[in-house]
Amino acid sequence: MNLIEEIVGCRSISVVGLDKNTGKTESLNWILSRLGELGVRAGVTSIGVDGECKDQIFATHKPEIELFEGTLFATSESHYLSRRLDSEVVAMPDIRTSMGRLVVGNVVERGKVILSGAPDTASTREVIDLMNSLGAQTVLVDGALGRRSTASPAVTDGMILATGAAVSANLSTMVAKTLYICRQISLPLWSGRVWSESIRGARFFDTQSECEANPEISSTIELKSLDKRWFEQYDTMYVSGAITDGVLERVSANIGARGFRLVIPDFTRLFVEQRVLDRFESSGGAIYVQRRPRLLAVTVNPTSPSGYRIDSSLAVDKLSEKLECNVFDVRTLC
Amino acid sequence: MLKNDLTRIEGLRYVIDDLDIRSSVGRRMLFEREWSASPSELANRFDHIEQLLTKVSDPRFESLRTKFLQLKDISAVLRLLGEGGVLNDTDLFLIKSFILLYYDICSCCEQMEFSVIVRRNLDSPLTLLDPDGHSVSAFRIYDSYSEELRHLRNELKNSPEEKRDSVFELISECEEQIRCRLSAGLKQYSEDIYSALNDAGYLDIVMAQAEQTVRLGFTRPELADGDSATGYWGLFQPEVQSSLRVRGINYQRINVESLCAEPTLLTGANMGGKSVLLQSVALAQVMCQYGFYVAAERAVVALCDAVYTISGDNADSKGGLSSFAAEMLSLNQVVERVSSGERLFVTIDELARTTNPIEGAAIVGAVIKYFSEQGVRSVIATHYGNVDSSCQRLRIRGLVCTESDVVNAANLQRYFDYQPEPVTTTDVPHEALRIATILGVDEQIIKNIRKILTK
Repeated sequence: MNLIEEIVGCRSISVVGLDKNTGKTESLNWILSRLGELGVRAGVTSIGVDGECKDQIFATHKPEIELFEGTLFATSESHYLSRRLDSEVVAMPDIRTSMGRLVVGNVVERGKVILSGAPDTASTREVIDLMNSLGAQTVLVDGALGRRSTASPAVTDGMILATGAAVSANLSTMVAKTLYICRQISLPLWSGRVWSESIRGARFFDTQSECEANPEISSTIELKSLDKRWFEQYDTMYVSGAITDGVLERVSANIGARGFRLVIPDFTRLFVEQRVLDRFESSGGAIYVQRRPRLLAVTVNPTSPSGYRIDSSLAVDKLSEKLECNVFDVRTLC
Repeated sequence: MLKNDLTRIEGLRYVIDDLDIRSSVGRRMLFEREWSASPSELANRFDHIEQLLTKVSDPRFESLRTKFLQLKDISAVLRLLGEGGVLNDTDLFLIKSFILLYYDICSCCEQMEFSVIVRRNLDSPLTLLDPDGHSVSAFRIYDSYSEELRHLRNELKNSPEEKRDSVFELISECEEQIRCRLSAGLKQYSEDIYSALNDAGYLDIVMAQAEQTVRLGFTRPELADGDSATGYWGLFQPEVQSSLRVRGINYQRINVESLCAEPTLLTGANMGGKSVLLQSVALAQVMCQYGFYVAAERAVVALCDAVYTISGDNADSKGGLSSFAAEMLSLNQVVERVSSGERLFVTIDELARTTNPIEGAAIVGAVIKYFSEQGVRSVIATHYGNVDSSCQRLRIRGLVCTESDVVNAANLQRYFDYQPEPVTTTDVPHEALRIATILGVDEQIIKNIRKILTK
């Protein structure tokens, strides 16, 4: 199945950049054009603000999001009112962003708009569902990693990762960092007991006796000072907050003979170095996620904003070696 | 205003929270509802609820209620419009979307044949917002608004990239002029639309009230004038009933008859439900005068201007007042309002209990005398015996068990009869010792109490 067919098969796709300036917007625009050609109605929104006319730090020309007739889009009220396209307002769900209420529009005549989406994961899911119900076959979510946004892009069915020279001018480093993120995206899906994302702190669980316990901590930092016995008595722990190196290292140190399972909502909660994750896994630990988008493709932008270039075909080859999904140079999309 | 009484009247918040009002407009309107002492206004509200009672089980009832979830409070936008402001695209969308939803709601009402609200004609503002007659909940500045706009948009379609920005500028200016024109044209309808918004909010409230009435078993109060007696049959306090049910305990509904425009002294053993009785009658009065059916099987309510509930729990610890001081100050407020000619309904839970019994009983007697002279409808609970006054007295029947019954702290409530009955004696039940024994108070203390009592 080619990439576009896979995209059309998903109700929602997030396009996330490993860093800024990784060609994410180009990927988005390419997908939107292809969908337009196929007559597939798309919806677009974002997590965080994007489509800004000029990059704030590097002042390089940043491509705007161009939308075609019939595309649904969700953005904040102030961005809707300053849009440069002809569209109609079709819905205003009860979602507030830092830039006003969220507005869902339908494009009447093509043009450009800045997308600033819902502020949290639950609202993002609501927006995706709303756009699906209003007729969008596939909803594209413009997101980013590296920014600790309050909304997770991992709520979508599929994901496209944008990487490139902006991540690192050194090709090997860029490849390694990219592969590491792909490894996190592909963490196994948890099929046991389901925990709600609204749970604060952590829950310990034993898969054999099905007993659950609440260690009554209010943040993940407190996990570091938990008694070793928690890890002996239970073989699984659910945590909804951010997992840092310190936390994972502490859990690694306490893993008993039975091994230990850490369950998290999705991979965006992990803020750990590769060596720390390796050590955790070799100590008998395993991380599971409650939701996992399918990694559909990785795009590479060989140019960085400071002007540096990396060897595009070499980068694509090295990544393709290790990944099952499509890998390509983002410039081939234009 | 109802929202101010939520903290004052025990059990009111529970009833309001239990009401499943679907729109923020409805919620706002209910919280801002004013106390009513007008029999015609209240009868009107009750008639609306009554109309809907038989329709609650109709599946269309619930599907209509779901529409209220989409109802947005556009009062701020309408206010801006009324003041001559220029609306933007999202504001215009909200108004158009509201009118379409309002028409939809009215159609459902007409289908189900209820006349709680009557459809207002908003065709003119709708046409302004829907020049092409699509009747779809979407809005933009349509080509039909201006030939110039239509022309400019065409030009934009055929413009080369370099020219697009300047054409766009012209389009923006043109659109803004149209918005000004539209806003000016809509201004005259802002009040009508606002009334329609309020109607929709009101309907939301009434439908929620009807559903609650059926579910909790409320009854329509019969209204009586200020000189008549208030009476309740099968009276209950919904919040207390609910929490007892959760614990598997049966709730005994009671009858409280002939509460005339004079004080009623209420006595009874501890845990005998005096507080719940006071809460129940106060709550029923309040619910009635805010246009709700009441928690009873039958109710006759004499209307008043305000309800006062005084109890030791109202102690203002933050203000540094003791419960006695808070009580006296509340009493003062009551006296002030009575003197100014207002008709009040007052409940006092164990008046002056936190002071010595001799003065306490005297205070109770004095208050009763004052209420008697002024004709204040009130219920005053007390433990003090020999209160010197000639007023109506009710005593809760209390503990009813035989020698062979094994009564303990866990099942004590099952042996209680919470029904009050009129008595003429001035003494109070002396069941404290018995209850203390049942509750398992230390044997030595019980012995000592007995000794002192028999002296």
